[in-house]
Amino acid sequence: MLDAFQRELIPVTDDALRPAVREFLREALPKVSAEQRARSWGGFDAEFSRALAQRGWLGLTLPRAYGGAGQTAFTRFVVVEELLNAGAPVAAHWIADRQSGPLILKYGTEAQRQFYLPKICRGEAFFCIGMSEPNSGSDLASVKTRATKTASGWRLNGQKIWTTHAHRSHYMIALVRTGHPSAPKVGAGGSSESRHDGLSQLIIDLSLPGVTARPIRDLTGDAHFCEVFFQDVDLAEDALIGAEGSGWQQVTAELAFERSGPERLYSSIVLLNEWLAWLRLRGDGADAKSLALAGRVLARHAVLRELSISVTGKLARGESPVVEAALVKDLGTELEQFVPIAIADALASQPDATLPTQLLRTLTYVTQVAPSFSLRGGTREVLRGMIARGLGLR
Amino acid sequence: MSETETLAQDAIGAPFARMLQEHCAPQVVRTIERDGIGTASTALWQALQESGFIDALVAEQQGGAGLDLRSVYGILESCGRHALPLPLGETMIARALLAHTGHHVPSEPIALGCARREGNNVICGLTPYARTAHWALLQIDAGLVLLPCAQAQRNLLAAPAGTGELRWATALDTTRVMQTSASLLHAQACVVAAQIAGALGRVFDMTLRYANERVQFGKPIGKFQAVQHQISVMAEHSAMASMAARIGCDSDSYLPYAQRAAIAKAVTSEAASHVANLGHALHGAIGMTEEYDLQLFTRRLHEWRLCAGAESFWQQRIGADLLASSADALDFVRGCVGSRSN
Ligand SMILES: Cc1cc2nc3c(=O)[nH]c(=O)nc-3n(C[C@H](O)[C@H](O)[C@H](O)COP(=O)(O)OP(=O)(O)OC[C@H]3O[C@@H](n4cnc5c(N)ncnc54)[C@H](O)[C@@H]3O)c2cc1C
Repeated sequence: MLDAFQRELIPVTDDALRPAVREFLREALPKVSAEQRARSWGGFDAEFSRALAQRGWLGLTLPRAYGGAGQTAFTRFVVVEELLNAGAPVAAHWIADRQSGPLILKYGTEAQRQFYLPKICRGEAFFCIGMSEPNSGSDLASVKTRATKTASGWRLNGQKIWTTHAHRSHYMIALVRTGHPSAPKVGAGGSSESRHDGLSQLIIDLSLPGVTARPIRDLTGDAHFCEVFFQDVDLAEDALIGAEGSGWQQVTAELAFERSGPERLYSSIVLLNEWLAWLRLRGDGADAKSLALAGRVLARHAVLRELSISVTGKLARGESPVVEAALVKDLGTELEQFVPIAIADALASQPDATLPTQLLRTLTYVTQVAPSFSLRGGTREVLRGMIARGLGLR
Repeated sequence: MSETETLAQDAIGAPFARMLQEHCAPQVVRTIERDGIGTASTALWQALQESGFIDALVAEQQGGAGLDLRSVYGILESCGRHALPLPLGETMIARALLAHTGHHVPSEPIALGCARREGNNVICGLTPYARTAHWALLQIDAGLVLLPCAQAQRNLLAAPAGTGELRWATALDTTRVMQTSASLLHAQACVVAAQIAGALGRVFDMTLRYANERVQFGKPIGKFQAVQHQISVMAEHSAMASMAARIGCDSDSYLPYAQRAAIAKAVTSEAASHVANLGHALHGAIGMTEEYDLQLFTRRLHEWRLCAGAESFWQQRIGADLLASSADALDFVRGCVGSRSN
């Protein structure tokens, strides 16, 4: 499996997009503080997303017939990398662009594709991910939210939680139980086949009666993730995406999209760049320890970025690099979490140092949210379990 | 993917790896570690010479294959993967350099190093293969000089180690110094990084196999989650080291780009001790024995980490380059690693 990381090169035509994206960002983003930019893919700005769409930079990998750009995963890598590096507020369209769109393209009916994909590409349909529930985190297959068949479609009852930006999204793609209620669903005891049976994915219009989304405040005071309640929500027949009962297999494919992007390397990038800029400004030059720290982070970043590009190559060829994506995500979040810890030590190595407040506020914000880097999208322990499975240990 | 499968995609590395499988089995490595230069090392070197790989980097008009560093990555990595106790990668670089400067190219193994003068001594510290090299191509001041190791005192790191200091108690004959713009340190960093990636891959493979075989509490230890997670971490660091070493060797000539070499050695050095320690932890006591092969690779990982600059040396260099530029992290990284059009 290790040797599965072939060196891949971003095609020159895709790299050539960078100046245009930077130019756009200079215009679209008036001077925003570093502290704000550090929120990046947590920052929600619908207008910004629509401006991106107008440039044709949403749905880059979706076919032209559905309003996409018909480009490759490499094109998306370049655009996304530029957005993240600049700390652009990409949250509004993030999920739709990254995973819901590709999921609908892969598993949707022609009518579903025609309906959702052009909206996604225009920045008019924002999606959220309805996987986690209060009692189903890492053990995702234990979800209890249930859809039962009705004469006209489905009736949905249950609850999702930690659903990022549910309160501002138009749709949720949810993993729900559609199988017979008596199907076994107990923890580790049930055979994995039976535990994964009876799960399906539904596209839920969040404006329907019976849906309530309540934001939950996080430790920094921001409100991005939500609890979402479904009480007798009536859904049409075509809310089902993909095959009934194939939810587990589809969600696994979706997670490969979720985990394989460059964002798993960029959560601390704004802080890193602010710190570098400050080191450069300081008249007395950087001390050896700071130089080594900068070099350590950059060397790792360079290598992990190549691994990420290698995963992108697999996506571009239509593969589903589940294990490779888990491996790169785990390494990436480790680096992302190392950055604030190490920069804090470097900055405060002198008790009497005078430091710019904006830099310290950025540091504080990133330090506080850093634990989430290795929670969202699957915890470190879950990813390492997947790698072990990929290695044949389980 | 097994080693054989991967190598099947590497037209140059594959035949070389097969050759090492045949001529450089662990028992041969042990014999050469015991005897130093002797019949076993001479026979192995002869096999390497006959294979023709040693002139892979020498320009075609000078009788070599004229390959670039990128194309021979598989060879360099295999040297580490098989604990080859002779400086093949170093000799390949040295032969290309010597041929290029029109210098006579000796047929024996050549070590590389950065040396300094101290009174009437020439000293080259932490030299890989100080034990088995016949020659040392040294960077001294801004020049290169080829000195015979037979005349040097060899202060090795340990009895079976290949690495050590070479010390010549004679004044340097400056007329023999060749001027060059090449940096031996960077070239050596790349060779060592690739060898680290190979040895580290081997330690990982051995540990994965062992975890599937060793039974405790009625099941293979690889079934325990704590063990699985440690092996996953090894897999991550092996993947990272191998990518780093390939970045280092990503060059269209027989010499590397300075910043790519720096990245390669910084990242592989850090991974080396980490993976070596995890490999030992998971092997238990058997891994501590002379008889079990693990030590052939973990000892080298620790030695090679020290050679051509350990991680913090290169990290500082990268940091200094970065701060001297005005690039942000992304542009700096793109500038270092670059992209090729082919
Ligand atoms: C910022 C943020 C945004 C999020 N956005 C979304 C979203 O949009 N949609 C969504 O569906 N979810 C979202 N999540 C939820 C996220 O997917 C879950 O937090 C994650 O899956 C872990 O679940 P949990 O929090 O219930 O922790 P738990 O599963 O309860 O885990 C707690 C601890 O136990 C460990 N653990 C659990 N099981 C095992 C095991 N078998 N072996 C070893 N260790 C184990 C975990 O690794 C962890 O360390 C988000 C989370 C965060 C922090």
